[in-house]
Amino acid sequence: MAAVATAATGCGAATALVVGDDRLTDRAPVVELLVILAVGWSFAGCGLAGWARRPASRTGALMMSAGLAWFLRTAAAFPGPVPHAIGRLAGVLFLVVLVVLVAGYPDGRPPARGLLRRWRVSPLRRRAQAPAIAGGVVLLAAVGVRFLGDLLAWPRAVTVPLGWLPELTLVLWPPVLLLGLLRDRLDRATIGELVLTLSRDAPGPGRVRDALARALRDDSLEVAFPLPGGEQVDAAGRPVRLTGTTGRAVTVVDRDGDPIAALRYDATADPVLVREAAAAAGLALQNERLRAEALARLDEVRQSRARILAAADAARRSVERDLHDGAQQRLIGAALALRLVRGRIDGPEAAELATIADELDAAVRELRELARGLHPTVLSDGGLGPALTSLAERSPVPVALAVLPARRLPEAVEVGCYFVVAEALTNAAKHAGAQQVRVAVELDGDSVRVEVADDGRGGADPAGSGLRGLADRVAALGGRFDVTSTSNGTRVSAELPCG
Amino acid sequence: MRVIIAEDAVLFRAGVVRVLTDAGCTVVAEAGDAPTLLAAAARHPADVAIVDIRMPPTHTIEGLDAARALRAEHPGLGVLILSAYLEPHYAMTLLEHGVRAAGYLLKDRVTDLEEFVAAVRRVAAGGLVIDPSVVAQLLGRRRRRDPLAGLTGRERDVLALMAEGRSNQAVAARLHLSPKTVEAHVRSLFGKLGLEETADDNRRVLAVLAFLRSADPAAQVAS
Repeated sequence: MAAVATAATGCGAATALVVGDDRLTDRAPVVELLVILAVGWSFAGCGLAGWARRPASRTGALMMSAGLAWFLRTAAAFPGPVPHAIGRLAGVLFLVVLVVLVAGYPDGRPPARGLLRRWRVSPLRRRAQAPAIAGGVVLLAAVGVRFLGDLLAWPRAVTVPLGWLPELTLVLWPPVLLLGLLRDRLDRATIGELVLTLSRDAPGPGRVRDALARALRDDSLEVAFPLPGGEQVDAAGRPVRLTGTTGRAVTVVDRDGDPIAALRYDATADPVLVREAAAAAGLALQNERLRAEALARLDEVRQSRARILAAADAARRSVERDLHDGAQQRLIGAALALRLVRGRIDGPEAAELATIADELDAAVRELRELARGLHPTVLSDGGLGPALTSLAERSPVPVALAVLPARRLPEAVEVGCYFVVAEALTNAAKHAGAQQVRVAVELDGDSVRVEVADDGRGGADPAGSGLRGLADRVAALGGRFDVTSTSNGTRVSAELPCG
Repeated sequence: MRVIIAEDAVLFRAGVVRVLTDAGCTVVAEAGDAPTLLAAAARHPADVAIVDIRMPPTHTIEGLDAARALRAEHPGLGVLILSAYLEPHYAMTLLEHGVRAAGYLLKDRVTDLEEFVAAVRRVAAGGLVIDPSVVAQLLGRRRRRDPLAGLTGRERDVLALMAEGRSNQAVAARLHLSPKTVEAHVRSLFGKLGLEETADDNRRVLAVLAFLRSADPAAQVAS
């Protein structure tokens, strides 16, 4: 319908030029006719194509209107005041339509708050508006140059070619506008590419986000995955929360009715395109959500394990303090009182009291060792050096302390190293029949490596309660634990992060 | 002999006061924590301060820190630490502040009344006292190439008593030997261990302890 109307108007315009005598310009009629038809049909044809491909955008319709107005201008060629008025009005209308077209490009809706402000909003927006703005600038420049040529009375050899510039621009501009309008359509072709990328690339956290960002040409794209509890995490399982803000829009992607991901993106992006891309990436997003959920759970478990260990250590320390300041103190006081009493009496009772006091002394010694085993004070205020030296002095097997760290480490790490060495030394003496043990605690960048190697008969059982407990402790600190036990000896090693 | 006592457990402190008073000492001040102890030492001239290693607020090694301050401010005042820890490290730390008039005894040693009073007197007189259990832990350390293996049983006994801070005469009295015999043992064992002999009894204690404490005494002998 519109196409027929446009074609008819074009033919009418041609007739007007041929039969009319009121010449619009001083150029040759045939060339004039061709130029006017080229401009009008370029606008009308490209507008028609844009309308058909992007019905949601008003740009196509505006371009067709511009074409029609352009043709109607030629009505001024007919004699008489009415056609003349129509022609002049159409000329003004053509200009108005052009301005609206540029301002509202690409969706055809001029912004309420001003073009410049809109231009500043985002790179994505700028990219979309470029064809309209650039064309407008070129057109103004072409008109300006022609006007300047006339004003300065440049030679005809220059002004005649310059005179064609505005029309040339008007012929070429509509196809550029159409291309810009269809680019989103071209973007849609990248969704096919997106599917290919996702099926081809090796899986990894954040990969889906990167592929989506490429497909949507939006580097600021963020992806979050909802957990059953309602919280959101990123691809690495870290807690995040995506909410829409100025210039940012959020779309929740569903799969089988369940939300699997939330995308936050540049609000100027075509939401339909975003949804299509998200749907294409649905399976990959679902996989990544499951991975993110697992990572988040793992992190929770890790943190909870570290908290349990810290609580257990705090409890040990508290018991150690109670033993020292409670029971032990009382026992020593009682033994002292007994000995003072004993000094004042004679006879068999004195000997009995002495025996009781000796028993109390033995109890005090046992409590001291018990408290030390729970938490050695020398470790807290002296560090690994004195604490491990003390362990070596107490060990029934000769211990060579090969390397010790020169600086203090985080408390949990020192306690971890200490218990690894203590347990390994106990095993070397009790089970391995070792002749010598070598202990090394070496700092290596952000981690510390503790190694205890004996020359015993091996046979250490990593599943035994002692080594199992060490493995748990090291794992709770985010470290690695390893036991190799052969007939040539046992080597217990642990690597703990201590950044 | 004038004594200051710093100990936060009141009953135990009273017991210690009693032991010392019975032995003819004068307790000039009592304190329950380190700041009170430092203030008391400034006000009451004394020969020796008996300091619990665990005191408020953290109940870890406040006594050791207080000892350092005491020795800096009152060079003439002996400091005897009563410790809850069988750790040579702390005994060495105490001696690092100065090798005279200092002692490191386990707290339960107090119940051996005569020994305890004798130790207090030795520290007051400028000597060193190291708890026998601490020395035993150092001597008992198993070593791959043990320099102590070359010592005779008698020499080991002499070494242990020396490390506890006793003079040759005291060692002789303890082992029922003549001072000349003890001197001969000392010369012999110092030679075997490669230690420099020194006339100062206190420096000798430190040298022996440091030797025993070193990570690899065999290497020290070789050098």
